[in-house]
Amino acid sequence: MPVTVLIVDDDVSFRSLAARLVRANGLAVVGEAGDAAEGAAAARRLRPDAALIDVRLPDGDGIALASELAALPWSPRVVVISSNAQFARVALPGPNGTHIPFVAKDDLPHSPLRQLLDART
Amino acid sequence: MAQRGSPRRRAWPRRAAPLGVIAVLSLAGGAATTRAVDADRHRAAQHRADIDAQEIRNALERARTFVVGFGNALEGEPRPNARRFAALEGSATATVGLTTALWVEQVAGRDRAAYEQRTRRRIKTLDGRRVGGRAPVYLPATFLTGVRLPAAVDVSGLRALAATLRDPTAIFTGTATPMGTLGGRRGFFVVQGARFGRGPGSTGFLVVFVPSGWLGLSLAEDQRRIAIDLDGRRLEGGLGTAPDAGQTFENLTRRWRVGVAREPATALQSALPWLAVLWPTATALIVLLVGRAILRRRRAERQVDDIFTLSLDLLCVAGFDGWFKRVNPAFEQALGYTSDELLSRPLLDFVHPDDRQATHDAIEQLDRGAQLGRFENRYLRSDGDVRWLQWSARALPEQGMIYAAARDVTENRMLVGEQAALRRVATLVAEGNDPADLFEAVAVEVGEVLDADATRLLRYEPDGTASVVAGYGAYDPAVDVGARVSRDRGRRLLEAGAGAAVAAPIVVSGRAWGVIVAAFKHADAVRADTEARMAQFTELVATAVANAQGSAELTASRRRIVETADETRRRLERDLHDGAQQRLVHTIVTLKLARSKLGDDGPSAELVGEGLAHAQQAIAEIRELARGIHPAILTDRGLVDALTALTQGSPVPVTLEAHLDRRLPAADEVTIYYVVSEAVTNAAKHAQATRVHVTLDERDSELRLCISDDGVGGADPSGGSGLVGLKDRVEAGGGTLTVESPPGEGTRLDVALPVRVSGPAPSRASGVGGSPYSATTPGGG
Repeated sequence: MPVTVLIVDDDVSFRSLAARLVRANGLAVVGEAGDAAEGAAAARRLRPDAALIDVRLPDGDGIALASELAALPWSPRVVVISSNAQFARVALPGPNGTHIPFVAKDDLPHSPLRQLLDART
Repeated sequence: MAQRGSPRRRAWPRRAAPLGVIAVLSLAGGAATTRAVDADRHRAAQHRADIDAQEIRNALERARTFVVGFGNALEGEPRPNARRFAALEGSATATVGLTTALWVEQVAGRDRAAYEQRTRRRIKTLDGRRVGGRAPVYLPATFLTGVRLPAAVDVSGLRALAATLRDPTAIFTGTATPMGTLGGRRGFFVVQGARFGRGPGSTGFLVVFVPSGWLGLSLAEDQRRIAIDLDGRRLEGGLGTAPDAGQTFENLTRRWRVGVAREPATALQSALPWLAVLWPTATALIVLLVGRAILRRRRAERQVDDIFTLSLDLLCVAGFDGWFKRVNPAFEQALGYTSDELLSRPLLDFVHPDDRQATHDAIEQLDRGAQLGRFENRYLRSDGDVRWLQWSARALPEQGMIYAAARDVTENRMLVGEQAALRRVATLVAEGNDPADLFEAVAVEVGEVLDADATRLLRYEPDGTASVVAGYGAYDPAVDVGARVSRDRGRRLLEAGAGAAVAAPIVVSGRAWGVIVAAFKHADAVRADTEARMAQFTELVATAVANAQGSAELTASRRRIVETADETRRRLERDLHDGAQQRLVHTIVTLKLARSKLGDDGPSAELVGEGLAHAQQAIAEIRELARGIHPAILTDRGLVDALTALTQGSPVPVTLEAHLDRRLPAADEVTIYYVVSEAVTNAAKHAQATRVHVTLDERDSELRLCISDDGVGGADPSGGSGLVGLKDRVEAGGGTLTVESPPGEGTRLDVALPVRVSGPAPSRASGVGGSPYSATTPGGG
């Protein structure tokens, strides 16, 4: 049973690119969402093992959404992404004092996505 | 000329009459006094003549007595004897002073030879020749003393003596001859028939010569002012003129007269006529001078009285006993009491109780002779009003009086107090302090200056109500500071509880901004100028409000400009991010995927690699550009994270201590971000710093940012660095930016930035552990 991943990004073309990358890492994309509200609803409906979330969403803050999803009962793994690399320099707060990992979008191809998204690794 | 002359002509007789009277009085007085003095001197001369006559009489009596006594002595002699004659004469001479005496015999012509034989002397003439021929009678002086004549000289040649001797019937005991001469000396003879011893030649005449001058010896009179006449001929005395007074008497069968001239006038007698002439003039002069002095004094007194009455200053005379003795009308008017009332009580009764001790002390000082200048105290008017009086006083201890002048300086003091209050308020306005402080100050100053019981400063709100923004004095709680009431109700409440209320509107830029209301318990505390005086304060309030509004508007305007620019840049950055940047990222990811598919070798892989490199270069440049336009992380993560990201990217190690409780207004965050960015860049590029320390916190709605480095210092804050634009930006936000950069001691930059309103609630941070708005990071490469 592969790890299920939810992708939240407002850019459709990048969502599909990200989906390819996720799948290329042996993970399964169970859903995509274009904004924070949609993402939160999809996560509750699909109960994904992990989520890949853009920092900047049309209706809100991707980091807040990531923190919210990470706090869900089944504790999905979350990773925030952005074309802006600066977020790599700051600690992004997650629930209970944890930090949310960040990957710059252009680094996605060589990032250890599987480790980041698969709780079993 | 005629006009000027005629009053003079009319005045002339009026002046001449007294002068004429004075002249007549002078002349009459002079004449009368001269006569009186004359009469007096004449009476004095007569009196002297009487006395002198008596003295002469006495002297003649002494001469007669001398002759009688001499005669008696001769009679006691046994026989005539020249030696005895001289001895007897000499013994008496000492007391009487008559030295010349003769013993003369009457010898008939026929007895001449017998005489010559008896006396053994020849009868000779006065000039010593022998008497020739034959005379019926010879009168030889048998004995002589006191005269250089030969013995037995015939004295017939002495006519005055001879005439008397030839008529023995005329000879009594003591008979004087008419005036004659003997031995060249004038005088007269006292003759007496006498007997010298017994025997022949014992009968004869004793003759004593009284020389001219002898009589006068007994007088205490100046010889030059006396004349003694014998039978109408001058015997002695040096008086050259007719005598003023005389006395005639009979003595030694002769008629004597003593005449005297008056004594020279004494100083008093000489002066008296002049005094008589002068005294009317002198008296008139004295009367004139005294009269004039009296008139002048009266006039001066009248003038002083006029001044006393007309003076606007308060004048009074008070006793050391502490009571007024006299007060002028201005005094009555100022205190509202009549003169009688003021004089009927101790003056301290009228003094304000708080000033009584000081006034008492001041009077005691005056008692001791001190001058009193500028003493001020308060008096109570009859209507209870308090008046300030400024005194200048002087004591006359010998009279026990104090003379004092006072001025009512109440208005002055009020004016001075009011001016000082206005100055204080104006200073507050000029300092541009918080209008709330100014409102408070104005409410208090107006209350105190106007002596109001309460004041309230109301600001009209846009909704038709009024806010009580400041107040002085307790009043209806409905209009306490902070209360909000309808405009009319506010006025009504203030008017209802007071005897009187005065309102002055505050008009800012032609619009009614608010009103200041002063409430008075007693309606009579309100004066005609109360509103005008309040207006001076409301103008200052209006100015301050207008200033504050202007300043606030300017600040807001600058801030709006900054915010608009920020917004534009934010949109630009977002467009860049969502457009070119996103596409480029997509491209890079795609190229990376392509490259991994192609493997590392082959010309295709090389081309993909080259495209990737350029794309990565492009994204780096776009990211830098975007960050310069607007730091996206600031919007997304807030100031602390943005600063953390910024400082971690710095080539110089930076320590960041940033503690914020909340998100700040976007404009403030951007300002702080760029200041730190610029400072850190400068520290690295220009200051050659090895460490930079950044602290940021918010206290009392003010952001405090401090950036210090250990660089070379000497930075010019106005220099060409980007700091100048940032300083403008800080000031647009109402803050300050200061740079201290002494050479060699590093650079320290301080920003204080007020935070207007709280930023948007950190909605997406809830439920997340740790504070998203604070960071303490060690310096890192």
